[in-house]
This record gives sequence, C-alpha cells and structure tokens, in this order.
Amino acid sequence: MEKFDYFNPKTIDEALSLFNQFSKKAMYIAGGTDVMVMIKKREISPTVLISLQRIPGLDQIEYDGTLRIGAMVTHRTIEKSDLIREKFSALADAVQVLGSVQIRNVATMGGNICTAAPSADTATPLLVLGAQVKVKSLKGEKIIPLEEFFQGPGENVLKEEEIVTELMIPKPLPYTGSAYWKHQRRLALDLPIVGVSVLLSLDKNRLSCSEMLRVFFPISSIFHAIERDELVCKEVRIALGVAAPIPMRTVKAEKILRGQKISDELLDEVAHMASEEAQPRDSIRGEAWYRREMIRVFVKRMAMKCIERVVKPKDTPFPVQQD
Amino acid sequence: MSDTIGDSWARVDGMVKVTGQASYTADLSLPGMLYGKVLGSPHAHAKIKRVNLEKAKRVPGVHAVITGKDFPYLHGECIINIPFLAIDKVRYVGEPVVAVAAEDWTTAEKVLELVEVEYQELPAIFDPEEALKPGAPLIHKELEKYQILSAVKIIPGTNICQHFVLSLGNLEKGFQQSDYIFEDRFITPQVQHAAIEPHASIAQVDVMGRITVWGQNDSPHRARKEISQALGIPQARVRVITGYVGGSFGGKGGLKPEAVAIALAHKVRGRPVKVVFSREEVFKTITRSGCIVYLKTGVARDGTLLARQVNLIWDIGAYAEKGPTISLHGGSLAAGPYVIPNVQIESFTVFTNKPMAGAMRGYGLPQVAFAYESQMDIIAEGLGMNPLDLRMKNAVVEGSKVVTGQRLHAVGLKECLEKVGQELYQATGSTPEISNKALPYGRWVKGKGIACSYKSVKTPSVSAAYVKIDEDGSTSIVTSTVEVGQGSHTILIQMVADILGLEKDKITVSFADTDVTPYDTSTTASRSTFHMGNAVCLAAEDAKRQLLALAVPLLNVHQNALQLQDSKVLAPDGRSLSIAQVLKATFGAGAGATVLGKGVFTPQDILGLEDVESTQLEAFSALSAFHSYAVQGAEVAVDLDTGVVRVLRLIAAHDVGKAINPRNCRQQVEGALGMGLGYGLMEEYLWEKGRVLNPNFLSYLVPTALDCPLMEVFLVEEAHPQGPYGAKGVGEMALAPAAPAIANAVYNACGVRIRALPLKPEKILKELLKK
Repeated sequence: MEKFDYFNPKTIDEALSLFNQFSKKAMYIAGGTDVMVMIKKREISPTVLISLQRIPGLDQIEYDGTLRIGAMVTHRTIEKSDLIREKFSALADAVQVLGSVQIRNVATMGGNICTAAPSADTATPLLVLGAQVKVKSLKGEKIIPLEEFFQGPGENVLKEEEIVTELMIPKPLPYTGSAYWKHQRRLALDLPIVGVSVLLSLDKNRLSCSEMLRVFFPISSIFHAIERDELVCKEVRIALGVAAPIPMRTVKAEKILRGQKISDELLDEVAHMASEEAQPRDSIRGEAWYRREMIRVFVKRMAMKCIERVVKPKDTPFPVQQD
Repeated sequence: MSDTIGDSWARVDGMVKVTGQASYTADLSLPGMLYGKVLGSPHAHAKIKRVNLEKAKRVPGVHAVITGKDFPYLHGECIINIPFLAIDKVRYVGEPVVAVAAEDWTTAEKVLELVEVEYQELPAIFDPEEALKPGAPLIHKELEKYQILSAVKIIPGTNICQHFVLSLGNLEKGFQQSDYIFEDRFITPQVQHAAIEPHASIAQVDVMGRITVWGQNDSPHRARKEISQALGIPQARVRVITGYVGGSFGGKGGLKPEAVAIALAHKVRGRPVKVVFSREEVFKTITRSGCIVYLKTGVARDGTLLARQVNLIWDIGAYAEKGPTISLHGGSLAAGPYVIPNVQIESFTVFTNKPMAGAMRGYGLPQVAFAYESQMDIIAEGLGMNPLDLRMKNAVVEGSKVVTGQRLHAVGLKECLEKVGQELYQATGSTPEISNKALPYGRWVKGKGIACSYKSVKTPSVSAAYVKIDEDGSTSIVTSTVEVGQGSHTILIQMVADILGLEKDKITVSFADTDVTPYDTSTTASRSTFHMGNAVCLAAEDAKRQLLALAVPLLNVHQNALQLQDSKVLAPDGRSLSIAQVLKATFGAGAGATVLGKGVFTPQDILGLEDVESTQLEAFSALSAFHSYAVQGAEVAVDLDTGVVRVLRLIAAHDVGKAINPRNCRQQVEGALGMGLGYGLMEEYLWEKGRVLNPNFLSYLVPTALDCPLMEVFLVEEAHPQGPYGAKGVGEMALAPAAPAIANAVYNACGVRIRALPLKPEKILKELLKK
C-alpha cells in the first residue's frame, strides 16, 4: 500500500478547498469500504485522502415531506429506520442484504452511490423511489436526478472538487409500495447476480386478496382476486442492477403497466419487456441468459411484493430475504 | 476418572483463540526480520527468456532479489520436481518466479514492480483429458529423471504422473451376470481450502548453514525431510517449528511459503525472512484436484451390485505434490462402501497448466463419493427401488472384502444408514417450512437425498510422543501433532488425564518442534486420534509405570496394587502420597524432578489383510489401519423458476469408533457439513486460460452461517480393537457425503440430475427449462 496524507476537514468548504489544493492527487473518502480496498489492491493510488467523517450534519436523516438522507448516513442507520422501512421499503430491503453488519456500520449512502458500481444495492431502490442527488462545489450547490448521476461502471457525473451532500426522495403517492430483490448465490456477503427494484402506486388498498397474501396462496388465485377487484396501477417504476453498465430504469416495461388494470398476463408482459430492455452480460457471477431470465422472474415477484405491502403494510414481514 | 473419556470438554485452545491472543505466523516478528514477496508468472506455460533485476537491486532497503537460478533446488513429496522458484520455465499462472527480501512490505512490493521478465509462451494445456492424448504438450519433459516415491508409477513421455489399476474378481463375468448396466460420467471442480489464516512462514539460515522454519506446517517432520532431501543435507541441519494454525484442511503441508522463505533466507546472511501470502496467492498455491469419474455398474434385478468399473482422471495441476498418493488413496475407495464381487478401478493422474492440486479434507474421497453416490440413486430409480433400501442391501458389513483385497472390521455403516434413514424419511414434524418471508412467491418443491461413504487412513504411518510428569505432578504431552482446529490437543489431554488420573489444568500439550518433539508422520488423513492417541496413551502408561515404581519403596506395596487418582498414588489400605510427594522423596527436596514416559505407535498386525495379494500390499494408503463410515442426508427445496437450491436440513450419522469428546466430533461433522454444502452448491475455481478468475472471497463463495441449515449429528460407536478406547477418525470422512446427498435431494425434488459440481442455479434452471 502506498503512503498517503489523511485530512479531516470540519466543514464542507474546507473539504472542497483541500481537494482543490491537491487536485488530481486527492480523493474523498467516506466509509472507506470501497476506497481502501481499491488502494490496497493498488487500483488507485491517491496521495491525499480527504475524509468526510468529521463534517457535522452529513449523517442525518430528515423527513419533511421530502426524505433527506445525508451522504454520510451509514447503511446500518437506514436499516434501523422505521420510517424508511414503512414508506421507502425498497431501500430498507437493500440495506439488509448489503455486505455484512460490520460493513453496513461504516459504509455510507453517499459512498455507495459515488462508487457507481452496476451492482450497487442501494442504486436501484433509489432510482425507483425517484431520488435526487444534492451536490456542492466551490461554485455553489446543484441538484441532479439520480438517473443522470451514473455514467458507466465506476464512473459518476461529479467533476473536480464536487461533493455529494444529500440524497432527496420525494414523498410517495398514496397506496405506494416498493421492493428490492437481490438475487445472489448465497444468502449473505455476496454481490447480486441481478438486482430488481419495483415501485407501484395503486388506486386503493382494500383488496379481497389481503388474507390470501397472509397465508401465501398460490399466485394464480391471488391474481384472480386482484383482477376481480379491478386494481389499477397509477404509477410504476422498475430499475435493474447488474443488467447494464449502469443501474438502469426499464421505461418501456413501466409504460405497459402505467394506468392499467393489473393482471397476471399484464405483469408477465411487463416482466418480459423489462428483461428485453436489460443488456446483461456473461460474467463469473452469472450468465447473460440467466440474468435475463431472473429479471423476468423477479420483476413480477417484486411487483407482487409491492401490492402485498400496499394491502397490508403493517404485516409486511421484514427482513425480506433473511429468516 | 472413567468419565473423562466420552465427556465433551471445552477446547483447551478455545479461549486463547477466540480472544485474539493466539499469535499466528503472520503476527510473529523476530529481531532483524526481513519481509519476503514473490512475483508470480503471468503465463500458464512459458519459457523464461530473460530476467533483469538490475533496477530492482538498486532500491534502498532491498537485501536480496533472486530467481530460481540463484537457488536451483527441487523439492516434492511424491516426485521431487517442484522448484523453490521457477527455473527456466513456468508451468502455471502465479508460479513464483522472482523473490525479494526487503526491510518492509512496501519496499518489497515496489521492488517487484521494477523486475523485468521476458517470457516466451508455450502451448498450454488445461483439460486433463486433452493432456492424456498422444501429442499433447508435455508439462514435464523428462519426468522419469526426477526422484520418485516408490508408490508412484509415472508413464514416461506423457503427462501422467501416476497410473494404477486395482481389481477384484472378474469384471467381464460380473457384467455378463448383470441384468442392468448403468454408465455415467461425473465431474468435480477444483476447489479451495479457504482456511481463514493465509499461508505464512519465517525462515532463517544461521552462519553454520542450519535452517530454522517457523510457521504453520501441518506435518513438521515431513517438511523437515522434504527440505533436507531437496538441499541434500542431513535432517539435523533443519528445524521446523509449528505454532498456532488458523485452519489447514490439508492445505498447509509440503513447502509453500516455506520454499520462498528458505530460498531468500539463504541470501541474507542470517536474517530471518517472513513470507505471508495474500489471499490471491493462497488460491494459486494449492487446490483440491478436479476429477473426472467414469462409472459403469452392473446390477441384478433385485438390486445386488455385481460389477463396477471405475475410470478416474485426476487434474493435478502443474506439479505432482501429493497428487499421486491422493489418487491412489481416493481411487482405492472409488467403488464405494459396498459389497461388489467384481471391481476394477483404473486411475490416471494428469499434469495440467494449473496451480498444484494437493491434499484437501478427504484426500480424493469427495471426488469419487460424489460420483458413486449419485449413481446409486440413478440405479435405485432405474430399478424402482428406494435409495435407502438399495444401499442397505449392498452396504459393507463386518468381514466384507473391498477392491484392495482387505477385509473390513469394526463396520458401523448399516447402523449409520438406519439412523439417517429414520431421521430423514420417518421422523415427522421436524421438516422446516419455506416461509413466505424467506423467499416471496417462489415455486418451491422439496426433496430428500441420502449418501454414504467410507474412508481409509494413511497407512503405514508412525506417531511418537513423550509424556513427562514434573515436580508437582504437572504433565506435558510432547507431540508433533499440530492443532489445526480439529481439537486434537483437547482429546490428547483427555486421554492422559484418564490414564494418569490428573485434573485437566495440570496437563499441557506442546507445539511441534522437530528439534524437540518426536516423530509424527503428519497431521492429516484423520489419523491423529488413532495414531497419536495410541502413542500418547503408550507414553502415559509408561510414565505411570515409572511413577508407581517410585512409590513402591515409599508405600511398601506391590506395584500392581497401586493406583493413580486425583494426582495421588493410592495404596489398597487407603494410604496415599501425592505425585509431588513421591517425586520429592525420590529425587530429594529442591532438586526438581521428571518422569519421562515414551510411546511409539505404528499399526502392526493391520486387520483384514489375510487375503490381500502381495502385489497390492505396496499400495500406499490403500490398505488401511482402520476405516471410518458415514451417512448423511439432506432435505432441500428447489425454486422451479430460478433453479435456486435451499438446503433445509442436513442429517449425519458417523461411525467414529469411540467419541473421546462427543462435542468435538459433532463440531468436526458440522464444519464438514458446511464445507460439503459449499462443495455441493457453490464452490469452484473459475478459469480463463489457466488464470484463476475468482481468487478471493468476494467471487469464490463459501457458505455463510445463513446458508447452513439445521444440522443434526448422530455418533455411532463401532469400536476398533486397535484404536485408543476404540476410537477411529472423523474429520475427513465427514466432508464426502454431503454434496451427493444434496445432489440426490435436488433430483428427488425436481427431477434434475446434475453430474458436474457445483449445483449452480444456472445448471438446474437450464435443465428445468428443457422439460
């Protein structure tokens, strides 16, 4: 490991000036679970590290209609938030399966986004939740939709000294549910083969299928009830991880469902379209055909999970993936 | 203290390890110590044309930069053909080419970046079946010129470093008599030991040329022999010391970082050199061999096995290491624990341009057990029989003859089958449900599978030990058995406590040090309880005899009437003397004292050899001092939409002879079930032209606690007449049946038969989609 100087600025302005001073040799470090690994593997060799740990206020979660998550909020904090579990469930799903407890205790929301891995667990939940990124620089402040933030594997839109300070998520519509599925080869400490996030906003939450969901009926009978209830999808967002060079939305699939009555066949069509929109590749973690197939399976399953969460939000079992 | 044996004592090394106080090799520091690193080959097969070390040598803080030409020796266990550093040629990606010793790690790393090596690539070969073909590139050109162990039969002019045929009965006749013949091909991948402690070693060469190696070698005496053979020096010029070991599973034998450290230590004038491998280097250092198994089995209509032909092709990587004896040992077990009158096993052990494959928990058994136990279920289905009934019908029993000609004794297989069969198929109410929250909306189907297996032990082998009783009765067990996490130190103390009538906190166990601790073949092969257990018991009995003899004149009682209990010598009339009193009276107050008992054990009169043909007697490790038996059952759920397998239950019954420490036995089995689950579902090396694509725990997956289901372990005790208290071995055996049991359960659940491990979701879904 190369030697580096380590700075602990106390304000954002101080951090920005420091970065400006050292420019190309400098790098910001948040939780360090990505940066330190890359340094040790000699993939990067910054000679100056600027820590954001000591800057007050970046580790707060606020909700004033808009959910504001400070960039230095750890995944463990998100995992323990009742508010996020109830209203922004997809994000809660993601942080329960991200790394390990030890990693989640230090890894941050801002860091996970800035690393811009196609597999980032929090990226697709934030995409379907409509997150925006607040960025500060010496010139001032700007807000970027998350969809425009990712530029390629490991590449984000940030320039020079810019720092992500906050993620902003709008208040969901009434009767909204969201869910994330990390399809992985083992049950913890893994990277996803694919990640699938779905957000659905419905026109009602009183459905005749609610009891069926509780006792886990066959899916066909649940759909029978849903169709009888004429359940309409008012809004839908679907996002995929490890399906393209960047975490992506599947706009065409969303369009098929938006404003429509939900049915078994329609969800199949949506899931199929989502898998068509994806551009997965073969890698050591999964073959492209399998990834495509899993997108099809889990887009539908996560849509079902969304409905389940709208219909019986208090009963929704957490954690989703772990006993 | 009759309750000492069979009591679940807590591990004597547990607290020191879980509190982080144990210092492992990488933690050690010696005065003047330098830090050694290696530069690995980027090519799978290439000539080294030119090495330029000039820039590297000029870096401040560098003490030595060397290549194979600077230390041109070969080492090896089966075939002495492994260079300390590559000489002229590299044979796998990662093979050490240049080594550096520097003042610190950072300098050593920097220096290696300045080394220039020019290679000329040679045609490489990665598929063992390709390597067998005539005209395949030869990885070792003049194989016959190396020094070769007598049990190893190479074929000159080929890539074959071991070939053998074992046979029993008349194979052709057996097939003719059969009503049905089943033929299958099975494949197991290379896997990694994944011990939590990476390989590390410190070596020092003093001014007299004497070599000391500190480290984690699981077989210090064998390592000493390998070093002395390689360098052509007497064993007395080499000292190997083993401290705390963070898991071995067979991966820490032979010379690995030791080779690099020794080569560097010879160039730095007496300064110790420490080498610690990175996880990536560990992956390139040693693997469990992949194996291709062809199985042809003839059966009668009623399920009686009549003939079995096994053809084995072991992918052993670039050097022989232990490969030839692994294939012999595993190969001899490849027909399974069944009574089959006509058997032939032919085995080829083949070089490829991959990292070396060596010993790993099971020594060839997991590879062949996956094959024969998968085929047992294929046969059962073909005959319309229950898999358990087919196994019960053919299982070996007391006196059964196996392919080596040896008759088996102390056989607890049927009892294990009955126990697992009952728990898996008959006991009700214990099946865990796949809950809604576990995986939403999966299309789950459940299935059950069973598999059994038997294992021999490295034979012949030798264990020796001292038991010394000091002044106040404190007792040391002086042994070269290495505590690699298997619990050997605890059970050796239990045995000595039982024989000497001592409290456990008065007994300690030494670390292994070839200058001090007597010979032991190795800490491998599930041999320690049986062999070292016997040696330690002999030593303790010897010490006891001597101690009681000292008490005879003091108590004026015949020696046979004296007893040792609670640290006291007891006379029949109730008089007693403490051990301390006896020693003080004998040696004089203030003089101190020692009673030194010694024990040497090698299995004499191995049972069941009466019919073995003399030609097979030299089959190293195939004829066995004892055999262990195990049966494991799995219940799984398969998601028909994704191919994902969840193991819901693992049940194991193991014939351990006698459980000296039942909890320790269960822990061994539970650990092995987890490892077996990994072998079954997720573990494999992924390759691209000989390069390991997943040399880290991010991409090479071992099961986590969440992946491991409820494990139920039952111990069967079919005492072996020669084992200490009847004990046999448990650790290696335990790994073999889990993977085929899971594969059989998957078939039972969804009708998909996977013949190549691991059972990845992709493979299962591909088959499901074909249906």
